[in-house]
Amino acid sequence: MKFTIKTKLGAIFAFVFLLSGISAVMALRDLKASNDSITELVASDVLRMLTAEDLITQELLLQVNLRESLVDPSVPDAGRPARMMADREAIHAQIDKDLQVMRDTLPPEQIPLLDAYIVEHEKNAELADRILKLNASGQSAAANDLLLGDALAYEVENNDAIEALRNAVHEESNAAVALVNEEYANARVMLIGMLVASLLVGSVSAAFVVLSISGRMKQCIELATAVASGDLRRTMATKGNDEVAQLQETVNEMVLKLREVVGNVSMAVRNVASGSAQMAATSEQLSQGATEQAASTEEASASVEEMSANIKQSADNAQITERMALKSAEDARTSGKAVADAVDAMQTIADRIMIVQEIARQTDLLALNAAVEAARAGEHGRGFAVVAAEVRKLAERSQTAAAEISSLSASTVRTAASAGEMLLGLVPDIEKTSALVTEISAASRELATGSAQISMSIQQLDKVTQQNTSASEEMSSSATELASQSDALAAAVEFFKIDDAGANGVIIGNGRMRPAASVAAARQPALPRKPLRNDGGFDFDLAGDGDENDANFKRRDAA
Amino acid sequence: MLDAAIEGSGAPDDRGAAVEGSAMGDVVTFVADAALYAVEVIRVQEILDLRPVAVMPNAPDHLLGIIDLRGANIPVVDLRRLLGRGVGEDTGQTRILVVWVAHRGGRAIIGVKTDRVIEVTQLDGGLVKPMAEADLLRWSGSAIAGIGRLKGEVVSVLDLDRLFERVDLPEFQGVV
Repeated sequence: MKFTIKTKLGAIFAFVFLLSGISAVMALRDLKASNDSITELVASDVLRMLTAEDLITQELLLQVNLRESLVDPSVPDAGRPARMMADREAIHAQIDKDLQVMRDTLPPEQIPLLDAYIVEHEKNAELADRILKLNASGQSAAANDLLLGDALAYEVENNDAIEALRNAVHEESNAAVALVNEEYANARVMLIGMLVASLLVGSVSAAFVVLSISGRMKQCIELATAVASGDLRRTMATKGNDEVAQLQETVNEMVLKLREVVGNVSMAVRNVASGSAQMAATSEQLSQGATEQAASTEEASASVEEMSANIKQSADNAQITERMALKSAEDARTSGKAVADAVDAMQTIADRIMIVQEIARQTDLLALNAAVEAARAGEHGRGFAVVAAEVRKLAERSQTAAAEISSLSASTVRTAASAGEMLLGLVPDIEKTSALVTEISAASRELATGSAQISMSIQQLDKVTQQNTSASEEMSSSATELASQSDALAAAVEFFKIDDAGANGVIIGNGRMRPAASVAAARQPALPRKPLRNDGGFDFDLAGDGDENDANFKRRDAA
Repeated sequence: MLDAAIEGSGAPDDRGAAVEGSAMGDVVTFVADAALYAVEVIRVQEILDLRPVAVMPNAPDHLLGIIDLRGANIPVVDLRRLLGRGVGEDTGQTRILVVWVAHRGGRAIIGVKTDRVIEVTQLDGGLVKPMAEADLLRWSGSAIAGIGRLKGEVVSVLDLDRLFERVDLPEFQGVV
């Protein structure tokens, strides 16, 4: 069950309203009772009183009428007795009417008084009738006597009876008034008591609620004041579970959150400070690098110009080489033709040698036959046989020599033919060489164009490098500005105290906030650079394996 | 058997008992199927270069045909086939040896195709030995007259008459 302030105030007001309602109901009830009593008083008691008084009056009128009737006027009036009679009748009617009212309204205990009065009245009326009859009969004196005698006594009794009744009625009305007064007193006491009780309960509850709210609100105000002055170190203890407790918890959360945020901001400020320091160092380094780059770019430009001249020289050489290669191809072709002619001549020689061989063979056969003839001739042919043998030897020798010449010429033909083939084979090689040299020449021209473009690019690079230099200087000044701004920010955050250390971890000391260690780290030695050559230009290292980009620069038609 | 055709003796068919190392005059040596043979020079009329041979119908295998020699028809026999050797290719040194053989009391002129004719010479020592020491070799139909040496090599001396006994020479081979 959550006892919020609303609940509490509602309960208190409901209680007070309940008491007030009870008081009002009781007052209304008492008022109604008083009203009833007064109505009763007016409607009944006053009526009875008036009726009683009217009865007294009527009795007096009767008595007056009686006396008047007995008095004779000086001027005879015949109608007078009748008028008097009519008056009496009217008075009697009124008395009957009053009596009827009294009988209807009187409480039962007073009926005997009424009856007593009625008896007296009847008696008195009868006597009056007798008196009047006496008077009417002319016996005025008797009538007067009777009147002065009995009638007076009767009238006294009669008046006593009616007065007794009137007094009884009067007393009853007095009692009713006293009752009303008593009821009024009771109601007043009750109302006052209820009022006092309401006051008491309301005051006590209001005091309790107000005290409980104001104490904790004061705590809240104190904490808020502390936060306003930048002190985030405290929180407050909370109890209860009403709105004020919620307010306290919320304020506590606010303080904790603020503490966290301020901590984060402090850390961020530190980071910004160190970052700006590093940025300043880096931009300085960048500027230095850009300067060196500018110098290197100039050297590169000079080297590229030199390279361009070399490339042009190479192109010229390639053209000369091309011409020489073409001439060599022509010469080789001519040589091949000469060798072919030589081969033809050798072939002719071989054919001629065949003839010689045939002659030698036939000579050999002839010599053989001659030897046969000589042998058949016996002793006579001995000398001839010797000649034939010599001829045959010569034929054999010339045959051997012809065979040697033939084989020699054949091998010569083979050699010359292979020499011719080699020469003819040389021609396409030389032509290929010429074509390659032409390509080299074209490539050299392309290289020259490319080197011009490289030179232009290097000039642009120089421009960009100068822009980089100025940009890095701007960045350096921006970093310095940023460092001072972060100092200001740190000073602003210092307003908040989130722990007892008091400095929030930010070193403000000299207002520079550059961690020395990080600056030293930022000034690490630059990348190792090759020492610059004094004669300018670059060492183009083309001996290595190259990198993966080299594959993009192969000749298209070499593939 | 030995055809002891001594120079000057015009009588053929002098077949007697085996003669020990009979002398022999000049011979013509030639090669047939890598073997060295010889005939007496008196039997040789002429040595011809290879020339076109007119093939005869229904001729036996060893008879190659007829050639013209200055108007005469000379039958040509392949010595390889005659000696029971295989057929050889003709080369630039193939020669036709024109010889005469005794035939029906006269002489018949026959061309013998040899692989190569070497020379007209004398056998070593001018001797030829019969084949008596090797009766095993004396088969029927053998036409070897004797075995000689020429510069250390064995030379078979042919007996042309016996060689051609088995050959049906054409009838028109008249006596020269």
